Amino acid sequence: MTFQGSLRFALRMALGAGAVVLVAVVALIDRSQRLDLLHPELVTGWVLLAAVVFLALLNVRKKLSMVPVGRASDWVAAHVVLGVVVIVIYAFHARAIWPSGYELALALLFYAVILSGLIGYLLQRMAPASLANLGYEVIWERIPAELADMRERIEASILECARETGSEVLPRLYREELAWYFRRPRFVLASLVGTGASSSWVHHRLDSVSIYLRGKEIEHATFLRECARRKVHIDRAYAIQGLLKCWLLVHVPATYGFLVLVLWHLILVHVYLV
Amino acid sequence: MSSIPRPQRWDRPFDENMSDDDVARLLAFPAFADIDAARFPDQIPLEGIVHNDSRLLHFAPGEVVVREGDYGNSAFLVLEGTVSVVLAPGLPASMLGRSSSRKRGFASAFSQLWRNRNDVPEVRVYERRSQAAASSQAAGVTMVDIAAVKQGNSTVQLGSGRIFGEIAALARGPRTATVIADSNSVLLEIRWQGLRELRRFDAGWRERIDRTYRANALKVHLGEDPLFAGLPPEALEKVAAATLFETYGSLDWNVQFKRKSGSESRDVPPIVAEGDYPDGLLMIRGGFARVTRHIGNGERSLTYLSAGSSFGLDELYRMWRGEPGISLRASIAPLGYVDVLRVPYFILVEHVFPNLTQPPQDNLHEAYERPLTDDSLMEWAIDERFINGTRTMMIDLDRCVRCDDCVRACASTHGGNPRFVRHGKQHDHWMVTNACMHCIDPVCMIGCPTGAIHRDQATGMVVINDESCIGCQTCANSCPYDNIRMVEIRNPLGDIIADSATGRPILKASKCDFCYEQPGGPACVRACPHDALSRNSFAELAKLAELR
Ligand code: HEM
Repeated sequence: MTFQGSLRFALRMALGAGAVVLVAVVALIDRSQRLDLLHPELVTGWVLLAAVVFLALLNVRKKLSMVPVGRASDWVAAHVVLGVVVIVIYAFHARAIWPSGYELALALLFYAVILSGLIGYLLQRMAPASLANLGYEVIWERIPAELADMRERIEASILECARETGSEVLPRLYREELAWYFRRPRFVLASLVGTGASSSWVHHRLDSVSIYLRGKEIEHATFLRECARRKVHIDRAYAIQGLLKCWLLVHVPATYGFLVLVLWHLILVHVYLV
Repeated sequence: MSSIPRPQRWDRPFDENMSDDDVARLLAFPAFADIDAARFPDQIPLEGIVHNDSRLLHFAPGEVVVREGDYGNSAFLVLEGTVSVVLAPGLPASMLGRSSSRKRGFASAFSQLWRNRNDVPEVRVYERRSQAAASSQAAGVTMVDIAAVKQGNSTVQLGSGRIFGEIAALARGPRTATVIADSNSVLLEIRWQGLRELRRFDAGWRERIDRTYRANALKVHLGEDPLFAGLPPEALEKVAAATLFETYGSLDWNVQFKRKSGSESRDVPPIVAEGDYPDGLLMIRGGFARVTRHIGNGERSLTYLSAGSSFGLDELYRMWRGEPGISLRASIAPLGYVDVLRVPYFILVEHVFPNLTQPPQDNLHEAYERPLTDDSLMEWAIDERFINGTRTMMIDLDRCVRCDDCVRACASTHGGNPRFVRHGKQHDHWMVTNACMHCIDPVCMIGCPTGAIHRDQATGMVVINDESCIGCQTCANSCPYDNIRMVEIRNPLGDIIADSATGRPILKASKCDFCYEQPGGPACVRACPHDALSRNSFAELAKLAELR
């Protein structure tokens, strides 16, 4: 391992140890205050808030890529570890799974953040390899352009086929079914799960008409099959990359919603305590 | 749309203060007086080269003219006085007052947050440009005690009319020796664009540059090699006299490479072939060579050689020890182009082998024994020529979540426009993206008419001086990997800046500069949340042991 590598390994270990210590300290304070009939919620609440604010700062870190404020990967490691710790601190603090009133909204937003975070973390660990295994890289922003380009080439091939052979088979197949397929990513859910629906749908159609094809038409059908293979990859890449982006659409807005309600919560608690 | 006159070559002369009188005096100097000016094309006249591609420099005794290891793009002609070249092992770095490139401070880096306009990328403010900032090569002044240097080191003195620095200038590499002024000296620094034209259009300069280049390069090269480093000067002289210079392939390999849409051809005649009788040690001086062995019906790359590595010592040594039937165990073939020194067997027998305390060892055998598929990444890197890169951007696709944080980080450190595309060739789960690799052999620098693309002296990164870039696209066309893009520039209002004469947009070359001015290093690496992106040198990555 390089020096940098070992340094970062040590940093990750320290993170883990820090998390355990933090949980232990919060547990001790909670217990001792409870025995003294004090309000441990005050301490656990502030610790929880500090932790959540730190977690939310990841968003700020992402905007500060021009200044050396630590590597994003170290921030994410700290984020995930603290994210899990926060669940424990929350449990000490709230003590109820389904509170009532506005606190239910607060709890639901917290669960949304935590759950989406955990799901997102797992996705980030598992999904990239599936994308890599596709064999060629699909750029999310370029999917519409890539499909438009593919459609253009397919339509040119089909027109040429009609001109050369006078046969209507491929033009009809394209008009009746394949145009729909190549218009945009299809079978998103199935592609995500990996059922192979996209592939079998298009190849089944091509197989069905293959008995009507002769000579030159077969060459054009082969070209269609090549495009279909690529389209199957695009469908899968679209589904996986979409999911990799989607979860953040829950995680981040829920974070902000949660922080706003926390502010409200603080004011109420303050008024109540005073 | 706003407009300015289209930048031209020589808009920014190397020396703003060079007067017509200076040029007339220089043209009367013997080195220039013998040149037939008529051989130069009208648009690049000799006078123009002297006027625009050279500058007069005055040095006091003990002042360092060039430092060993700095990347230089120019050669020097001694006009008055003398200078001393410090031979290997050279002066310690501390004595040379190494300067570092101008890193931004924290505050300056932070201010990019609001200075960068993501809505309007590539903004240039022309009114505020300083005319004096033309040269990014201006050296800091470093003084040394010349007497002490001469006492502790072997030096070679150069007087009026001698040229030096052409090794670095023509090979696009680091300075191979430190040069110090002996007395009050006047030197003419010729940037390599001018040197190239002088060499191209005048036979005398060509012969002179090549002779000095070859002789100096050889001495330096041999002196730096552990095999010859300990030899007494007379023996080294003999080795140098017997060594042959050979060049294989073509220096503009990048043109052919690009034409073949970026993949190195394997059908290249070998320099020496597996099974041949070894007749000398092959030392690589520049460029690359592939080392292969037959396998089945193909050739398997065992490793590649680059400047500083050599081939055949093991076989030659075993021959000297009297082992029968020795032949080369592998072939070597040029990758693009390669500069080779061939040190004959009899020289090694006379001066090297008797001094060796241990038999030389290479890793060819282990390389051949490795499982066949272990080398696929290296084979690919060789075929695609990624071995040229020293900071190749590699993305591990098994980790990359395609969030584009790297692209955004790059944009926010470079005026709102990213300097690379998160796309590129793929092998297994590795992607080499279209980001400047800061090559060992930066062919993009060949032909830049203004010297805008250069190596940063302190870091060795290949960077573009935006002020002197005239948007001619030479570098972008030369880059074999398509890692340089031409961008339209805008004024702060967001209008495209156009050439006042033609109305066409002014272009500037844009590429990754490895964040050489940013504190904290490359933003792309720091921004990756999953440690998927790294900048690598293939030489380190493949951990290819030297052949001996
Ligand atoms: C109250 C708790 C949490 C808050 C306030 C929070 C907030 C955030 C914010 C603001 C981001 C930045 C998103 C962006 O700008 O792109 C983020 C990203 C992320 N969070 Fe959380 N988070 C919390 C808990 C968790 C938990 C428990 C996990 C998982 C164990 C988690 C995993 C992640 C991951 C994997 C990312 C994406 C990192 C990346 O790829 O850049 N978060 N979170």
